[in-house]
Amino acid sequence: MNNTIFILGVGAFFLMMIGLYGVLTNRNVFRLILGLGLMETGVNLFIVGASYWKGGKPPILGTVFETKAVDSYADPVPQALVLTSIVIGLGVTALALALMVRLKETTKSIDIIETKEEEVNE
Amino acid sequence: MKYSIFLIVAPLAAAFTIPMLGTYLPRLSKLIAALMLLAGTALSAWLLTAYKAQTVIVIGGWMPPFGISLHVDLLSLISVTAVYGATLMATLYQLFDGQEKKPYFYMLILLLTAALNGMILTGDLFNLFVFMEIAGISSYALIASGNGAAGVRGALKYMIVASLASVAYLAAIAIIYSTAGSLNMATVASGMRDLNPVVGALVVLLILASVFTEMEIFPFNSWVPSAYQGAPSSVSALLSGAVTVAAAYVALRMSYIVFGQGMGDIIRYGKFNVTNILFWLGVITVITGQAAAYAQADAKKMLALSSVAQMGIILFAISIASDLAIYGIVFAVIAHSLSKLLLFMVTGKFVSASGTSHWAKWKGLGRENPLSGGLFLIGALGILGIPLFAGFWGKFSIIGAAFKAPGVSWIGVYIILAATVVEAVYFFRLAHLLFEEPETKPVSIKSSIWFRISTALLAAAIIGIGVYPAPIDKKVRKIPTELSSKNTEGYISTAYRAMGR
Repeated sequence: MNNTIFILGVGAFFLMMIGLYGVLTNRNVFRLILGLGLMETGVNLFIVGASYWKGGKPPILGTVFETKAVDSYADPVPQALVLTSIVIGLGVTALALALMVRLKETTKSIDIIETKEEEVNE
Repeated sequence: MKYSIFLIVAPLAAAFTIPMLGTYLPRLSKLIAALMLLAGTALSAWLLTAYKAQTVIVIGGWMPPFGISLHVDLLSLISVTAVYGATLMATLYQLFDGQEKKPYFYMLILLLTAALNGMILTGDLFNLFVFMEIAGISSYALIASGNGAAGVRGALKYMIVASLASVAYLAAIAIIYSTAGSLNMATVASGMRDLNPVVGALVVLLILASVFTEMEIFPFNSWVPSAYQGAPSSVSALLSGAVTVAAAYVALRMSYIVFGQGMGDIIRYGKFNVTNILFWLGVITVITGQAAAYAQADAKKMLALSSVAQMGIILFAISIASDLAIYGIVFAVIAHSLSKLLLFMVTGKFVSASGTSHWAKWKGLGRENPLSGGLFLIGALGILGIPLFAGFWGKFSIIGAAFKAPGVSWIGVYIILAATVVEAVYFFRLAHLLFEEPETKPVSIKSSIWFRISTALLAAAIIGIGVYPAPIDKKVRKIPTELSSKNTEGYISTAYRAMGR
């Protein structure tokens, strides 16, 4: 087994599991958001790890890595996917934190489960 | 057909003019939103009538499977038209009858429309993920835009479940890309068949889990009651009338085209039969949805859980996978969208007039306001599938298909019929209460002319489809042949022609 892939895979798996444990066992919204963040990092690591191969060169033209053999470049697509998913993750986390602040302002608590029934008027 | 790209791009572009104009010209920005949705409805309806054959639209000159392509077929055009129509109705309701909102609200609605249309039209798995996230983010913000703490809580619950689902989807994408080498749906579909059965089953379950979160299928639907209750009624109407349409379409495309072995066959990987899982999830969703809706004291939660049950019926029909079942699914989705829009618009009126969403306090509201009460009744009959109302054709075809199907599908028929009785009980319980003699004089509801026009249109559509389904029927009959990948005009062969193979 390739060492790097092993480390990436195990790291990704445990990050996801730690995050999942956090999401499943907490009621505090801040901890839930932290758990989700860990899971997202884990899955990003998993995508990068899935495309890793030993000796793959960065797919950038006009650098010291440039070579005629296209086969020796690493696949750029998973890295583009990870970049997109990091940006989306950032947006979601920012929105989640904003919602948490709003929840704190309106209910004086950041517990996800309501203690008393909330009024609805529209 | 090449204009189909504008179905996604135009609302996206219009959405970003709103924050620029909104600060100084709030009224103009609201007008832009409404006009954009009207134009989108007209364009999608025109494309639907002009439709001839499936087309793959290559975007930016990047050939598939490397670039992203759009795939336009009859079912996707019908779904897009339904999404646009539903969004237009909900937006008009919010503009003229809801509480005053900032222009950003309408920007979010346009973003949601663009994302839902993207989910329906795209031919690429990662692009689908991006559109699902855009739809998610804009719906969290829309849900949180009203009702104080309830709205924020609903949005947070939805966000947490949907983020878990998107992690599952991304993990599946990593596996698919490293085995199939592409994320184009048609390429993946032909690659999935040679996959190791265990990996194949894992990928299918991960992706379907995230689609089912949007489609409100048990056990991924714990967010539904809070989100629907906390959202402003127009947004509840959108979630129920537009988001579920897109989600049901994605579920259909995923299970038949990407992961199935062509329509009519069972999705099977080795010993692992995914169709059975779809069947049981659908049946359990129907049972839990209707039981929970029966026990609800809150009208918006009750309608939300009734949506859940309807989606369960649609998943059950997906698991049958016969021509008749597909025909039923299309009718059921359209009828559900129309009826739920009407129900949420009327319920929103009741909630804002009475100041509470507890239906027990609405005694006599319908007697005082016969128009709203009557519209509620029409919506309820449309959902239930009473003959002469839109829901009938969907349920009738699905039940017929289930009896003809081999295996255990007939169990589902009895469960659906029993669940429909429960549904009738809680809808008529509320409708009866609305028309009871009240002790004190109930509030009378003021409604704008737009509310009357749009609800009249919805009611006319529900009854019109129920009494005279022929115009829609002619289109819908072609869908099962189109979805089949054995067909030479099927999805995969069309996509491969576009790739020049």
